[in-house]
Amino acid sequence: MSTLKPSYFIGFDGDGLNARPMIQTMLEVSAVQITAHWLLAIDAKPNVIICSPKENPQTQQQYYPVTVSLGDLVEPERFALPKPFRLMQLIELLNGIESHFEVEQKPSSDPALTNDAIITNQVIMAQGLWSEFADFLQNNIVGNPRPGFITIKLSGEHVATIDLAAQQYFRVFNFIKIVSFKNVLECAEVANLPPNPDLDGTSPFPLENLVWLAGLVAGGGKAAPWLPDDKQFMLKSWPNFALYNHNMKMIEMAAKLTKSPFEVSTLAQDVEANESMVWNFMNAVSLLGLCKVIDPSAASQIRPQTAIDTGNQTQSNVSSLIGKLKQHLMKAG
Amino acid sequence: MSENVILIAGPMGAGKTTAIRSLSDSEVVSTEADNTEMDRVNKPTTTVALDYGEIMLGDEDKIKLYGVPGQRRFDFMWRILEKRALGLIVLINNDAEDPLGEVVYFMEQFSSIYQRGGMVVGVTRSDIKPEPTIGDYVIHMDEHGPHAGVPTFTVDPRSKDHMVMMLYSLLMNIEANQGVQQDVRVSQG
Amino acid sequence: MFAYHKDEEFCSNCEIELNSLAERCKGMQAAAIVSSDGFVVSTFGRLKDGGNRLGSMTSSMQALAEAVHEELGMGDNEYITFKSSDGNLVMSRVHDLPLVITALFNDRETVGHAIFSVKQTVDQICGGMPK
Repeated sequence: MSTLKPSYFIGFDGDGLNARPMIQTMLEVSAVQITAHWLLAIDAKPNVIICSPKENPQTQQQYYPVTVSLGDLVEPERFALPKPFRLMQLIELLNGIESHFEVEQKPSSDPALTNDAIITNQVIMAQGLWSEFADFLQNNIVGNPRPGFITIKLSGEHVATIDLAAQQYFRVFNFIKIVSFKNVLECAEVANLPPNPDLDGTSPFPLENLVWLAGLVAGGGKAAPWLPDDKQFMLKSWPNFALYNHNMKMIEMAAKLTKSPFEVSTLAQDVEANESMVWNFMNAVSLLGLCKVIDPSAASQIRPQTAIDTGNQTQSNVSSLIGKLKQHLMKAG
Repeated sequence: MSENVILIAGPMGAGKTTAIRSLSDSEVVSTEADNTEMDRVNKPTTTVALDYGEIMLGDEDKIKLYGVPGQRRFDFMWRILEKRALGLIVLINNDAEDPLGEVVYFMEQFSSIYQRGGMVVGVTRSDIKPEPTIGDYVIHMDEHGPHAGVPTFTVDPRSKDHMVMMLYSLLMNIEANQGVQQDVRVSQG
Repeated sequence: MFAYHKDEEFCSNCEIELNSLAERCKGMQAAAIVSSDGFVVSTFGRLKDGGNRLGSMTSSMQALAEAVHEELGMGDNEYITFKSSDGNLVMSRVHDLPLVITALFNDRETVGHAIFSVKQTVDQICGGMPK
């Protein structure tokens, strides 16, 4: 189980790149023992650089010199990683570097440099404008890994934190209930993790789960601003329901929408749901990029996306089975 | 009483036996033997015939869950059980050597079920190895089967919620396919 | 778990025992000793694909039989027999070892003698140790 940890990036220079695969494997198996969240740098500026190996002239032992940098502070070859690699040595090295960073980051009297410092624009959204939050996620956060965190406050209460580097988020236990109310929403990007006992020790969720939730509430039961309300819709593929809050009606909608285009009103009738629920679902799937918008005039020309033959079960058998399974699941709670 | 058989297939170590244990209302019948290929897959036992579990739906109906062995050398069991199956859940462990190759392999091995829309895919152990992503699986399957549209999810076979969601999605997908085919038949007269 | 099918000395000892079984039972057409997870240790007679398929099927059958025994509270499985118009197939676990022996006999061999001879072979493989 991952918990909130600061994130740092590892880069490689010269022949130090040869160590990359081994380091990657070691990071995966040792995540629990390492006190910070270490990632291999792709676009982000590395905090630690593993350089070309050298040999100690006295001992003839080979080692990788390790340069560390934090902000403007750069310390070339401050640490070393001996060859051949040992897991415990890597764990000790990375934990040691993290302790070194904590010492170097002296508290400042300048409020702009405190842990709560806001380092990018603060987004304040008025009541009910979850569609702006959805935009904010899509345009600034998703697919844009970088050091730092986004704190999310609803009516002043810190309810979630996005870990930008790991592209995941942490939330309080009743987050979903809170999200459904019309709240004043504030998001702030910060360099360091603010303490929050309600979030510490909780398990992370993938960021697309937050996108889904934002999509579900963005339209308030109607078409979200980015969706036209006079078209038909199909799904390109199924939503990954294991990651998202969902109900049985959404599964039914996905099954139908992956085969043929539907107007919202027709789909609502078919699955016996309110149109508002169908719109919320369409808003969420469209935000995940799963939705195709189809002009009604073109809809009739679309061949149903379906399998070839019906097998040996009659339709009434499967429908009846589904009904009984639903009842069974509802009884089981 | 109608027989509603759901198969659970996939490579060794994907979590098939675990998935049936999560879903089954009754005690699962297992046919495990000691695994002499620990160097290939690090688990102490392996299924050599089938796993069997049930979901009781009232007094009259049940869903029969059969987990087939993952290794190719037991594929004769696949052929036996395939004939009776309403649908198929394929579990693929994302840390397999070639998970995308594995999913296509099972699509081909169970083509009769896949082609009538009776297949869903669950990707396990994606917390250990996040790639390939679900998007990668969807694209890869679409390249191998036109209009595949196979429901694909990242799942934990220990989670009953995940397994129930997969089962429900499978049945809804079968029903939706049949519904569309029925409409096509009617429109063609 | 020890992989008996990878131990050359053990495999050749098993081959000797299968040949000895064939000497005692002139009606034996083919036989195999397999690991409980379906790998061939040793074979006798003509078997398709070196007995690999039979090996897998044998391990499946043994496991299914044991599952039925457990379901019915029948105690430990001692052997399995298949009767056909052409003869008999006998399968037996090799005492506590993770191995199964399977042997095909034509109708020249009575099923009783076949079962007795297979049990003797099982004892020989285990060095004469009782179950």
